[in-house]
Amino acid sequence: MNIGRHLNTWNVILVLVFIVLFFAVLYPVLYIFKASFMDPETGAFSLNSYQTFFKYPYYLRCLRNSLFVSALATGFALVIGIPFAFFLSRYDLPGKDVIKTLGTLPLILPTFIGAEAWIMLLGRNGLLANTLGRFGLEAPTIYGWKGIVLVYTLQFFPYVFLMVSSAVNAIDRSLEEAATSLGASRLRAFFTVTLPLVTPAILSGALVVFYLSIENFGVPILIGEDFRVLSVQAYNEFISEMGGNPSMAGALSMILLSLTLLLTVVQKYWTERKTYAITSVQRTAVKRLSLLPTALIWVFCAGLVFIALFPFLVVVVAAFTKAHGPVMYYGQFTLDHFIKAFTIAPRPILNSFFLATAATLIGIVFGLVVSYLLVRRRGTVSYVLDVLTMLPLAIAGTVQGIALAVTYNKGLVVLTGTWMILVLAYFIRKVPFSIKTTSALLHQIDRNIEDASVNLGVPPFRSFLKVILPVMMPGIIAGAIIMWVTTLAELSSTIVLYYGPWATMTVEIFQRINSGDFGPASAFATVLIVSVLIPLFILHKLLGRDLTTAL
Amino acid sequence: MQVELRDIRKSFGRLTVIDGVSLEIEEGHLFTLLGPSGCGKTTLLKIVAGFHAPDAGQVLFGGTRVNAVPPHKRETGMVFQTYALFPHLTVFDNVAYGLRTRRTSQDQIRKKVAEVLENVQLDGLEARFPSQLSGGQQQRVALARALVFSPRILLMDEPLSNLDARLRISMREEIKRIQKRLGITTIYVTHDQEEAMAISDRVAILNGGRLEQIGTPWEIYAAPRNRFVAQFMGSSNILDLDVTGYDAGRARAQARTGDQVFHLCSGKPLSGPILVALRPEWIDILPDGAEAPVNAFTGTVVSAMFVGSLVRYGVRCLGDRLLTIDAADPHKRGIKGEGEPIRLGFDAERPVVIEP
Repeated sequence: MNIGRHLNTWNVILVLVFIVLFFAVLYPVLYIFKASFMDPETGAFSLNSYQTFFKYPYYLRCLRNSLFVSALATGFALVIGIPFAFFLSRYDLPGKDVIKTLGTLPLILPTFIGAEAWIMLLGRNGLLANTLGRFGLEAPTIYGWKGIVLVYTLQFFPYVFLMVSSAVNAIDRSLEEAATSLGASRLRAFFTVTLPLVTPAILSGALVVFYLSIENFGVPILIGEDFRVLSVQAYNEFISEMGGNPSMAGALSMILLSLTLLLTVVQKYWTERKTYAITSVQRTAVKRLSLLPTALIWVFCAGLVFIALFPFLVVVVAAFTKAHGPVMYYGQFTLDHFIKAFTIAPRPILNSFFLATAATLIGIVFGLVVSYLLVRRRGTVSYVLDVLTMLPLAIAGTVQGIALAVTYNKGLVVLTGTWMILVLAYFIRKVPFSIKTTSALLHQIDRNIEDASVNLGVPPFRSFLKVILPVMMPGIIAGAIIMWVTTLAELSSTIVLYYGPWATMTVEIFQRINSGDFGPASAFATVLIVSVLIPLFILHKLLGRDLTTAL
Repeated sequence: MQVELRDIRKSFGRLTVIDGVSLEIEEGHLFTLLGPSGCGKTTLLKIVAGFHAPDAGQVLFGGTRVNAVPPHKRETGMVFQTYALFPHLTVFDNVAYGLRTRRTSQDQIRKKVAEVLENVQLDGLEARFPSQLSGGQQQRVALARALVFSPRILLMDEPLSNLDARLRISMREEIKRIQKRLGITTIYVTHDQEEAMAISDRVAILNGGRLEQIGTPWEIYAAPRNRFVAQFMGSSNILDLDVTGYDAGRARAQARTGDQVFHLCSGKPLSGPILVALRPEWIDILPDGAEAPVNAFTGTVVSAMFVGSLVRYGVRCLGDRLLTIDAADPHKRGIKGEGEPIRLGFDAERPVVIEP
C-alpha cells in the first residue's frame, strides 16, 4: 500500500520518532564529541585531551588492557563455546535440553553479580581461597586481569554457543552426505564443508563477545583493582570531573565509542554476509555415541554449565547466610538480609521496578511504531531509522550515561539528577530488543491483510489497530519482557546517571559489594536474579520463546 | 456497476508500470486482465481498489469519478492472491469483518454470513481459524469475505495461483457460477491464459504496462492482433511472408525462408512483407494420397510429444523453420516418429495477418 499518500498519521509519527532519536541518541554523542575537543577552562578548540591520552602510559595502558582482556576472553569463549555448540547439536546426551537452557542463562544474569560471586569464592577471605588455604594451598586470586577474563568467558560464551549452534542446525544433512559420497572422510567433510559453513557464525560470535567485553563496566571495576580498563577510566574521569575535566572524560568516551562502533559495523557486515542461502533444511541426525565418549562429552558440557552458574548459586546461598561485613558464616541460615532489604531499604527495589516498567512501557509503543515504519517503509528514511535505533547497541553503557549526563546537565532541558534521565537512558538502550522482536514478527505478516482490512471499509490507522496489533502481540510481549529484565540488570549507565533517592537495585548491590557488605548485597542480588528469571520463565512457557529472539 | 479507466498512467520511481491504459467494463461482466508477470495488471487492479493513486488518468465507477475516494470507501470487495485472511479471527469473524465496520445489526450479520458461507459451501466451518483450513477453503473464505457486504465491484488478484492444478479448475468454475448468479461486475487478474479463456466475458491483454488487445476470448484467439498476443494467448507459429500479388480478397505470398508460395484470404489489400499467425491446430497433417489443400508443403518430424488428447509435433520445413503442429486424436491417426517425412497443409482462410 502506498503509505506516503494515505497515512498522514504515520508521517507525523515518523517526524516525532526522529526528534526523539536525535535528542536521545545523536545529540548527546555529538555533544561529548565536541566537549572532547574543548578546553574545559576557556571553551576554545583544543586537542589537549587526546594528546594527554596518547602521551601518558597511564591512559594508553587502559586501552591496551581493554583490548588485552577482551581478546583473551573472546579466545576462551570460542574455545569452550564452539565444542559446546557442536556437542549439543550433534550428539545424544542425557539431559540435553536442560543443559541447553541452562547454558544460555549466563548471558542474562548480570555480570557484576558474577564478579561478586567470584570475590566471595576466590577473593580475600573467599570461600574457596580459605578452604584451599586450610590445606596449605594458595588459591589463584580473582583480582586483576585473570579474574576479569574468567568472568567474561563464563558469562559470554553462550553467545558463541547460540550463534554457532544455529548455524550448525541450518546445515542440511545432504551437504555432508554429498561430501562423503564424493569420497571425503567424515573428518575431511567436517573440515571442508561443515566448518567453512559455520565460520561466519563463529566470527560473528567472537565479535559479539569482544564487544561485550570491551564495553563491560561492572566486572573490571569490582575485581580489576589496579588493572584499569577504558570503561572504568572514563567513569573515574567523569566522577572526578564534577569539578574537573569533562574534556578528558569525553575523549575517553570517544575512544571507547569508536572501538565499539567499529566492532558493531564489522559485526553487522559479517551477519549480513553470513547467511549462505540454504533452503528446506533437513538437520543432520543426532548421533548416539558409545558410553565413554558420551560420558566425556557430558562431563564437559554439564561441567561448563555448572561452573558458569555455580557463582550465582553461591550468591543465593550467601543471601541466606549469616554475615558480618565480608565475613560469611556459611551453614548458618538467616533471613536477616532479606528482612533488611525489604523493610529498611526497599526503595532501590521499588526504584528498579518503577524505572524498568516506565522504560518498557515507552519502549513498547516506540518499538512497535519504529518496527512498523522499518518493515513497511523502504528506502533511505527506513535505513537511517534503522541505524539510529540500533546505534545505542554500539555505545558502551558508561559512555551513553556520561553523554546524557553531560548534555542535559544545563541549558533549556535539565534532566541530569532526575529519574527521567534514567528512564530515557534505559528506554533508548533497550528499545532495540523490542524493535527486533516486533519487526521479526511483522516481517512474517502478509502485507495484504492490512490492505484487505482497508478494502473491507476500515480506515488505515484503525486497520493497523484491528488486524496488525493483535497479530503482533506475542512479539510485543516478548520484546517487553526482554526489555524489562535487561533494564532491571543494567548497571553501567545507571552508575553514571543515578542520584541519591533514585539508586536502583543494581547500584545498591554494587555499593554494598564495594564496601564488603556481602550478605545484604547477595540478598538484593537474589531479588534481582529472581526478578529476571521469573519473566523469562513465563516468556518461555507462555510463548515458547526465549532470549534468542532478541539477539 | 460499470467501470471505466481513462488513460491511466503510473510509475514507481523511474519505472513506468502503467503506460496509458483505457478500458471500459460493462455491468455484470467478468473482465480479465491477462498478462505476464510484471505487466502491470496487479497495479491496475490496485488502482481500481484505490491502493495506488494513478499519476494521471481517471477511474470511474458508474460514470462517477472516484480518484479522490480513499480505498476504504470505494466499496470494492477484493480477493488477494495470498488470501490475506486475518489469522487471529475465525472464519465467521473474518467474513463478518466488513459488515461490522458498516454497523450492521447482529441479526443481519449472522444471516448474511450464513448465507454467503453456504454460497461458497463452507457452512459448518464458522469457528475454525484460517490456519486450520486447506488452501481451497481459505480461498472460499476470502471470496465470501469480499462478497458479504454486497460490494459494487469484485476484484480478484490471481485468486487461484496458490492452488493445485485440479482444484484450480473446479474453483474457477465455481467462481464463474457465483459471479453469474450475483451478476456482480468483476475484474479478474491472472497470468494463466487458459483460466482467462475459461471464465471471462472479456479479456484485456497487458504487456509492459500497455494494452495489447481487448475482446472476448473467442475474438482474441481467432484474431490475435500482434505477435505478443498470438504467442501469449495460446501458441502460434509466426511466418514471415512477402506478398507478391493481391486480387479480389486473395493474396499470394512467398515464405521468407524457402521458396514455398502460400495463398491467403484477406479482406483488405496486402503488399510487401507481412507477418501471419498460424495456430498449431490450424495446420493439418495430410494422410498419404489425400488431396492437398491450396497450401501444402512437406517437412521432417523433429519431435513428437504425446500429451493425451493430442500429439504436439515439431516439424522442420520451409527451409530451416521449426513449426509446431497439434494433431488431434492420436489413437485413430497414429503417431509419426522422429525423422519421418510429413506432408502438411492449411486452408487459405486460416492464417491471420498480425502486426509485429
